[in-house]
Amino acid sequence: MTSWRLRHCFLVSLLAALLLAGCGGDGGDGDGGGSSPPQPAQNVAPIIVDGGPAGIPDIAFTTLTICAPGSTTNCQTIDHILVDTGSVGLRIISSVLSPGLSLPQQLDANGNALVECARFADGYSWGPVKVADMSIAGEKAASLPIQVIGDASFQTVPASCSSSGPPENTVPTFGANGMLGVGLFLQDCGAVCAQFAIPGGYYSCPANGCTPVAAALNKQLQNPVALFASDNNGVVIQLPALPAAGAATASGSLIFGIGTQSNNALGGAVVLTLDPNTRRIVTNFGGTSYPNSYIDSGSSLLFFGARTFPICTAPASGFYCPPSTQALSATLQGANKATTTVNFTVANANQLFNANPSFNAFTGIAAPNGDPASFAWGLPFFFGRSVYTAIETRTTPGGTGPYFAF
Amino acid sequence: MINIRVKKAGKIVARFVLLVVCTFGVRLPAHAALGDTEASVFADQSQISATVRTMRNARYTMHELQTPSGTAVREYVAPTGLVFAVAWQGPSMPDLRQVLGARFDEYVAAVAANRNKRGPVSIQLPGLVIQSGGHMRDFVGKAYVPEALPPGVSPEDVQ
Repeated sequence: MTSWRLRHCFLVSLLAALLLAGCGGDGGDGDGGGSSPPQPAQNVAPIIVDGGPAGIPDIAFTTLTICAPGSTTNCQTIDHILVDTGSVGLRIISSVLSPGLSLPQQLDANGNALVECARFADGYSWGPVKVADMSIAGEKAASLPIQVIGDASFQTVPASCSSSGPPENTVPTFGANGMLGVGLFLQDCGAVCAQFAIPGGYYSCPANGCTPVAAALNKQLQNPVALFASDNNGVVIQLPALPAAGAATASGSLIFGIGTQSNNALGGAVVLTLDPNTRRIVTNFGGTSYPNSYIDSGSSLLFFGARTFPICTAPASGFYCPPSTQALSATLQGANKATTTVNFTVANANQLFNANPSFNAFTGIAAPNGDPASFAWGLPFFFGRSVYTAIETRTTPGGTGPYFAF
Repeated sequence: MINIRVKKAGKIVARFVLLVVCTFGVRLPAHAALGDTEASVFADQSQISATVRTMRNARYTMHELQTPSGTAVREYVAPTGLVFAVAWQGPSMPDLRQVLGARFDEYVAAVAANRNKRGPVSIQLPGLVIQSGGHMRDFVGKAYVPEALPPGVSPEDVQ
């Protein structure tokens, strides 16, 4: 983050702090008892796109409550949790947890502490798996294995974990107080991690050090939505359409369930199923096929191409900066051969940022993709849409998950 | 993308390859580093109990190591016998500290210096390109030395 963005993040954060009780390192409300804000309608959690604690544009945040398993009083409400349809499981940065919130450690098959290396394309997060009850919008996932990132009890990161990139173990480097992974799968890693001890996956951590270990499916981080008593087959993310210049903040909804209540019907949404082998969808754009494509609220931009447009210098370094806003169109195709057209824009990110330095929500920001065969439809895609993410094996009115629909 | 202009690339690459070869002694069981010899590919094979598929053409040799857990790591060897590119795809990533050798810290610093977005990264350092994409369960990426690409080989050939 450049200094001017930090400065404006600070101003926005002040505003957000007034509105939302906190944007910054201290995300907690302490004891959740009477201090939680009133919940909206059952199965709807609010989303805010406000830059968050690190001032990163186009990150969707929500607020949730975690409690020690079985407790209704030893609880903490935490804001600025990143809503991520590209991963699975709840992760919290340890520094935002109240010292009094004592969560039990998840153990592996040999009774040793189970610790995870969560890898992202741009870094890794290291920390123990603990167990908590999670509540959000009237829904509850009991005895949920979660990752506590940057926990002081496990400070030594194995080389096989840190070898993937920079650490994301603090609020500033993670860009959020935590992450709510509500993606396509039941577990974050799944069968591969249950069968193999994978360097950079789960680790067994007796006192003398950590080594990779196979983790049974039920020991791994779980999709919290799948553990809800109802509304447990997927999620809908609704964000408003934005002006071309963007907005200081955008408010939307994280709706649990697909076709389970009147507020989450599929309607006319087109269902795009995933290739059973690659778990991807196909994007056709500009005469090129991008077979490694996916829709992901946790990616903060549209990521495609290598040098499709000129690359910005600071402050939007690494973004695309075409001379003028480009109106573009792509076709997305599922393994079920269903296709749908997406109209989108790519604006000059520096012009957007400089015109309104306090803005945090944009539809037209994009950057090159590290995988030239991939078109990653990140958060800018979600504005002005209802985007459905259906969980594997779960039935919905649109068929059995996993799938994307919009 | 860290858009650092490539200057004096040839000299830097030569120094880089030398540096990587010199750090050979601290290798951990992992994957061949850029600039390593072809022999290192087969050392990898035994260390990670991977199966290897080899494809040769006039421009380069590609060894694909398939780990038991399903990650494919492809190591591209130039006719000079040196590894000029490494690509990966699957539920895990290769050990980038190993693949990038002495340049790993530079890569980490470059990504960390650009925390203005979340998602795939595409980093250009002098004499080195690193692209890391995908997401949990499905990572895709590659690292290569542009100036070491054999004649007739483009970055798109590395995948």
